[in-house]
Amino acid sequence: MKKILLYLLISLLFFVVSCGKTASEQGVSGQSESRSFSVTDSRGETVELPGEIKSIAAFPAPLPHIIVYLDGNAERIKGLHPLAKKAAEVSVLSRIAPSLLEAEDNFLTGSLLNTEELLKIKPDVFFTDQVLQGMDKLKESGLPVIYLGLEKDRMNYRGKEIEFYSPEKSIRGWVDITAAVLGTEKKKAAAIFEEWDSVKKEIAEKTASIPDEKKKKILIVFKAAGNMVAGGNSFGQYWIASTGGINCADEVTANHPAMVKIADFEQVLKWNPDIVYLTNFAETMPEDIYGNKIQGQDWSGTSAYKNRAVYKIPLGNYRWYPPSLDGPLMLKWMAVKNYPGLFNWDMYREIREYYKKYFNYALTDVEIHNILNPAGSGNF
Amino acid sequence: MTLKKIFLFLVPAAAAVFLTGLSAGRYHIPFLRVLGILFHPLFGFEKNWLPVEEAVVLNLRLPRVAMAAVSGMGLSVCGAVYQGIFRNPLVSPGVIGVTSGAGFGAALGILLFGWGIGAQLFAFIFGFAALLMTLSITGKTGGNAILVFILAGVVVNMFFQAGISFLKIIADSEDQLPSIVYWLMGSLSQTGKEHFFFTMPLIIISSLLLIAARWRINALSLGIDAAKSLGVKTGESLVFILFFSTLAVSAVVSVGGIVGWVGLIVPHMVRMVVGSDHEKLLPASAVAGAILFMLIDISARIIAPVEIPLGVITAFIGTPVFIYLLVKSKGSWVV
Repeated sequence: MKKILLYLLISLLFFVVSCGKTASEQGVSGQSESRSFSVTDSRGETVELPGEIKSIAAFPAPLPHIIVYLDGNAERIKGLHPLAKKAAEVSVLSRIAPSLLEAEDNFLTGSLLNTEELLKIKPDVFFTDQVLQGMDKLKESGLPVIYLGLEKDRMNYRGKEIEFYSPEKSIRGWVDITAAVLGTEKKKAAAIFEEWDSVKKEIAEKTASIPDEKKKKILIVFKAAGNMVAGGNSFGQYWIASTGGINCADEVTANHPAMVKIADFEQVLKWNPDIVYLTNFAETMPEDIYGNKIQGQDWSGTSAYKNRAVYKIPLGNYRWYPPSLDGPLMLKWMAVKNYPGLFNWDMYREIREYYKKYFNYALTDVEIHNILNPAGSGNF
Repeated sequence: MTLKKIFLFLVPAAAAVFLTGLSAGRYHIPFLRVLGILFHPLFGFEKNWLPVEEAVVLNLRLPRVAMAAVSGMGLSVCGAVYQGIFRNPLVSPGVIGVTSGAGFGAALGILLFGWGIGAQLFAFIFGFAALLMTLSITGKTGGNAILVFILAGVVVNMFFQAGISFLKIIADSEDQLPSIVYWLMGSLSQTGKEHFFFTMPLIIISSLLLIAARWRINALSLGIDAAKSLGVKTGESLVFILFFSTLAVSAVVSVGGIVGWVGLIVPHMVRMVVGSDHEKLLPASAVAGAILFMLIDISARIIAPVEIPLGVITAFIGTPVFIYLLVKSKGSWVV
């Protein structure tokens, strides 16, 4: 009996230590009321902000690279979700903005928010992309909370109008809102999207003449183990349709922006994709597909397997599959993989110029190689 | 009804459902071709099918249908055994905490290593950890061992449920959380040929050993004292039964996630027909469970292109069936 009590006590202690560090300091800095302003967030809520924003705490993993894009550095970022910090650490972003690694990351564990730890950082604003327990308390304590949500868009696809979670519209919204909070010039914030528009237009024009039956049938695998694929309303739908492909999984949808879990692997054999892309949300690599190493799956019957057309999606400032500012590069990279005869972008050159232009950072060849050949899930 | 008569009905039914399972799926393959692929090694038919069709039948469907049959068998036998030895009709494999222990292990494994072998191994380890916790609590108390055991099981169950909730909160919402949630709701989509060599034999052997012990289970179902007076070594028998049932349940959870209902319902359905004698109840539950679980998995594969978790289907089909049986029989077989 003693042993059991001891065991229970230890597990309780663990629980307390892992999420219950207390703090006595409270309050929010930067209350120069005179220059306060307001910003409308993704939920349509008007959030009052105090004068100048000097200190930012953030939950969403893509936010650091948005701030680095707008500010040129990460000086204002004082607190990050551990996974967002880890994402920056393993990607090239921490080289572009090394101060990211100094951000506090102990106020969030998964989706568990420790309000007091957050307030200790004394942020002027807190960004989140999830409705968190304890968020209302934050507002009561006077900390402005900006919610960044995903946006849906509509497209004409094979003669039908469909609705989907748009990585482009989402990141545009996030950049607009973040720029308003940071006080960035609108023109500067919009620069990357001018390039995005022109890349998208160029690819659309070149692929427009391909008849449907000659279009590549593409499957984006979110997580191979568990049969999770990019359905007809997912981010994947955007990437595939924007690069002139047909989404094998367009007939399945789920209430999830990134994936849908299909009932059975043999569905994949029925779809028989020409090209398979693997996201950075799972460890699976093309070699795992070629080696048929995934339990309960046999890829050998697919064209992608036979033509060795299975590719791991790159990882630059952030993962390229979900909304990210590397979107124009993702479009170019996919277009080259889908139709090598139509597109001959040298991705090394494209990536180098893009990062120089928008992030003022000169990538080395090794860094570009690592962007194009990420390991597994990027280890986060 | 004699066991022979029951089996005369159940075994062909199981064979029919098994073949249906091999023929049903989103990749259409004509039935005769499925038979050809299946019996080719025995009779050497001419190969008039595509390699991809052979892969679908032998590499994808066969392991999954077999795993469904074996899981249904294991869960039903364990359910019937528990209801017998605990002399309580509400008991199912979940009650002694093994299912949630194994579920917790799987969730922890997913958090640490992603979805795969590691998670399956953790399911086993924590399934047994749950049993050991329950046993050690029971061992330290005197009095009515069976009641204390159930109570301890309920508490251990709650402990691991809380653990699962905690893991869900700290899991990465983009990456790990979907895997954990889907695992917990049950799915056989991860079944592969590997499972023929370890998991399935383990469940089959455990179930057969439990069926072999049916006389002792009969004695135990009369109560500890009565069993003792019949010459049964009650302590040893209980440990034997709990060990192998935990093995079977953990093995099922390690592959298919937490699937409730089957272990609770099948024994009751069978009891309606054959009565409470475990000599008949256990073997009949084994085959009936296999049939039911294969049917559930077939539905999961063909109803929609999007996966409907097994836990959802078992509950949606199981509940009305159970209520119907309960009302129709006025609950007479329960007591």
